Order: sequence, then structure tokens, then C-alpha cells
Amino acid sequence: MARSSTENMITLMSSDGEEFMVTEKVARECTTIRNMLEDDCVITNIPLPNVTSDILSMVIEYCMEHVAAAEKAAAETAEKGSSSAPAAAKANKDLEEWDKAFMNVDVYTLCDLILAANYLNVSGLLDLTIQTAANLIKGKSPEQIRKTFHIQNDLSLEEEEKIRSQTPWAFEKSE
Amino acid sequence: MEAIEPSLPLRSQKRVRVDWSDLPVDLLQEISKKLHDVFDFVYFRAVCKKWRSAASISDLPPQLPWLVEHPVNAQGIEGENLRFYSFFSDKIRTLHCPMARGKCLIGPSHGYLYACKRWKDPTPSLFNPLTKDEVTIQIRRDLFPFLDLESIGPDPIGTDSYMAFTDARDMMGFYRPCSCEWNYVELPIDICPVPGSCLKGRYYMNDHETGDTVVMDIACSSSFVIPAPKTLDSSDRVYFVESTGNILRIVKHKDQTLSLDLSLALCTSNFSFDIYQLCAEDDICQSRWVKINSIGNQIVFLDDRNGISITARPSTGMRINSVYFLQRCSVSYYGDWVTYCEVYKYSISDGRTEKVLCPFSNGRTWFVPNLVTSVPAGHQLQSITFIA
Repeated sequence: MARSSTENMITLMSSDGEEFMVTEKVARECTTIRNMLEDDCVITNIPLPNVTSDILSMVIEYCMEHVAAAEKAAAETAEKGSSSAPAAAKANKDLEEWDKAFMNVDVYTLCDLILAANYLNVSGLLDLTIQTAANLIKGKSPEQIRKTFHIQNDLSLEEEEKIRSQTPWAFEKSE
Repeated sequence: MEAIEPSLPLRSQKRVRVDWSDLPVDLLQEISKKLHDVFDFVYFRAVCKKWRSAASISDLPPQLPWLVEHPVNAQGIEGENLRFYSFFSDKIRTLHCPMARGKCLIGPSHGYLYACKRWKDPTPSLFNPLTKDEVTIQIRRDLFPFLDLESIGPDPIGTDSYMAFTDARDMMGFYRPCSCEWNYVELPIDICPVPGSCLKGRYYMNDHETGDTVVMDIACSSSFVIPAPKTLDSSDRVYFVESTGNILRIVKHKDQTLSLDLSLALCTSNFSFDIYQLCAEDDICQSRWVKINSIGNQIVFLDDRNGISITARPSTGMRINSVYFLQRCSVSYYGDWVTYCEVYKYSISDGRTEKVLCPFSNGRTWFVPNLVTSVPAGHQLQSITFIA
């Protein structure tokens, strides 16, 4: 994507030493980075020791897509004087579709994305990943949830018994 | 005993492995808050120690109501099983509920289901089909000697409010479950008690002839009248519902032309609703109804008598700013009329009504699942209270 030369570029460095050059606008999608930039405006190189390169590249991809969508919407509004509702609805839908496709990841990546979105404070991505995790839980039994997320059952027999006796209806056979 | 399989796909070497059971508690909590089906929430808490610690039983996220069906047993009386249908998760659940036996379901109230034994001993009671908590309401037989006592206004939300009973003659009794307190009101001759709703310490009922609203202040036994809004149409039913602190008057209209289609189904297909909000004045007698065009992110669920208003998030998949309602229909089946119940959805923004697909043919009312019922002080619960 062509970018104006006046735009500030910032280098983000992942925990495994990979560098990512992004525009300041994209970097600012991460509230954590935005706060750093506001504290020290000449900063151009930001190490992110909690995020690996593969996850960081995904976070950047998400931010770029959302910045581009917002810019496009703003440009259309400026051009026509007012935003047309159907066009805005379509753009929203497209972005939702993009988000949905973006969330087509394995559960490990999803877990890392949740942690990265939380650490970098990208609220849209955090919402998206948390909702995706909740959707994976829906309609599953505890055992199926453990299998989906590769979680070991560390509950003692007594604890399991207690859970069953507290909510027997949830463990009765249903239709 | 379930050990993780040793052959789990290894992730790229440079990534530090974070397990789902190692997610910080606050993030696990965020996930649990998105579980708008009580079963998902209970199963979430049964996964592992860490997940269990992240969500307390009292943190159940806002739930959408279940449609309740109460099948009759072979003897023709209401049985011990209740069937629930969740529109949100498209699941049918059958719960064994011995206290439901022989009782007629009236509606949701104070987080419980409100039911009443119909014959011989019309004792009203509140029960929670999940926790099995039950509260029976003791009626003063010296004041209500008649067996045809009718309970006419459960408060569905339970915000510091009352339930109403009448002997359909000259007396109304208002019961407050949170303090086990009764108020008895002798009715003036010109007031005929009709089904209404107890909301915020007042009882609202609709005068069918004039469309006026008769409001009784329960504590001081006084009443006043809110005149009918100017545009008075023929109404099928008037509901009073509390919605985010406001009192709504919801008028259901039914298309007057009955359509008699080929299958002999005598059903009306056109419904519409007018919604008014109470505009309270300092002088309460000056209060009036103001028509509104939106109820925001609320969904109203109506049964035959009452309604509840629920705040819904778009992620729940149900349409906000709409009214879900039950409509009883009759169909001729080899000369006999068979009644069944359909569910419709009225969208307030575009005024359209559509039928909602539903596996139940005899839904009675709605129940909002909850795991901690607010147990009225002074009541002896008939089962163990649910504690996390």
C-alpha cells in the first residue's frame, strides 16, 4: 500500500528479534503503544518482549485492515459530504467477514492472540478473540471443551462430585 | 485421569507455550461473560480448577429467557417435567421438577417461576426449576375465603415489588416476597380488578372500555387514573412492563380480518404494537403516556398476561428493539378445535411481524434462568439453597 513519505514510521520488535516497520497510525491502534508515543514522541523503535513475531505480524495485519477500513469510510464521507448508510453497512459487513476469516486459527494461536491483544491493548481484537473463544465453548460438554482447548482435567473426584451435586440438572440426560 | 495426549501438534519452536488453563483469570472471566446460556456457563466452570476459579456462580452473565412448556401426564394433569427452549442456543432442555406437578404456570416472577395449584387448594408458589428452591405463599383465608382466588399480577422483574391477588369481588391483596408482607386493599365499587402488573410499588391495570390506566398505590391504597392516549385503537391486549427503570404500556393490536385458510387454521396473521412510556409528573395524577418509537437495545417477551424486558447484546443473535410474543391459535382437527401456541417477533423499527421457528407447540411463558434466587427473608426454603 502506498504511503505518504511524511508519515512517521515506527519499528516494532518482537520477542524473537524480528522487526516490523509500521506507520504510526497503525501502531496507535495498540493503546499500549499509543501511550508510549504520547509519553515520548521521538520514540521510533519499540521492543515488545511479550509478543512473538508470528503473533505480532497477525496483530499488525489486524490493525492495518481496521485502519484502512476507517480511512476508506472517512474518505467516502468527505467525498460525498455525508456517509451513505447502505455503503457504510456494506463496509461494516465486509470488515466483519474479514474478522471472521481472520479468526480461522488454531486454539494455540487464538490463546496467544488473546494475550497479545490484552498486552498491546487492542480492544477490537481482544473483543474478537474473546468472543471467538466463547463461541468455541458454546454447546459443548466439559469434556468436549477440554478436548477442544487441550486442557488437562485437574479437578479431584470430590470436586467433580461437588459440581455435579450443585447443578445436577446440567448433567442429567437431555433431549 | 484424562492425560493430555503426548502427540499434540507442536507449535513453532520460538513460541513460549501458553496453555489455556494458564490464561490470566481476568481474561478467562471475560470469556465466561460471553456465555449467555446457563448450561455453557456451568460447563465452563467444570473444565478445570483455574477456569472454575475465574467464574463464580453468582457471576452468571445476563441470560435470555427460555420458553417454557409444561407437558401434562397420562392422567391429564401437569406433570413433573418442564421443558425449556432456548432461542439463543436453539436447544431443548427437559428438567425434572417435582414441585411443578399439578400446578398451572403463571409467569416469571422475582427470578422464579410463579405457579399455582388450580384445584382444591389454590396455593400460589414461586420456584426455581434450576436450584429447586421453592417459596409457598400463605394466603389469609379469613380475607380470601373463596377458592376462586385469582392471582392477577405477578411482578416479573422483582424490583422491590409486589404480586397481586384478588377474589374478583371487592378485595385485592398485594404480597411482597422480599419481606413476606401483605397489603390488603378494599376496592372502590367502580374498580373491577383485571389482570395487570405490579411495577415499582404500584399496580397498573387497563380499563377495557375506556383504555384508561387505573393505577393503585399499594402502600397507601389510593388510586388514580392515567387517561388513554388520544389515538385509541381496538386493542387485543394491554401489557404493563418495566424496562430499564421506565414503565411501558404495550398495546397489542390484531388485524380484525380473520383469515380462514385452506387448512382451516383460524389464525390472524397481522399483529402490531404501540408502545407508550410513562411520563411521570411531580403531581402523580398528571402523569401521562407518551408514545415511543424505540426501546433501544431491549427485547420484550410477552406471554398471555405479563411481559419482561431484557437488555440484549447484539452478539446473542436475537433482534433488539423487538417484541417476542406468544399467540394462541386454534385449528379444527376432525371437528375438534385444537389450540396451540406460536411465537412471533415484532420488530419495532420496521413494524413487521414474523413467525419465529420454535419446536414447542404449547409454550406457556418465559423463564430467565438464574442460579442464585434472591431468597425472601423469613421464608423457609423447601430445598437446600444453592451456594457456590
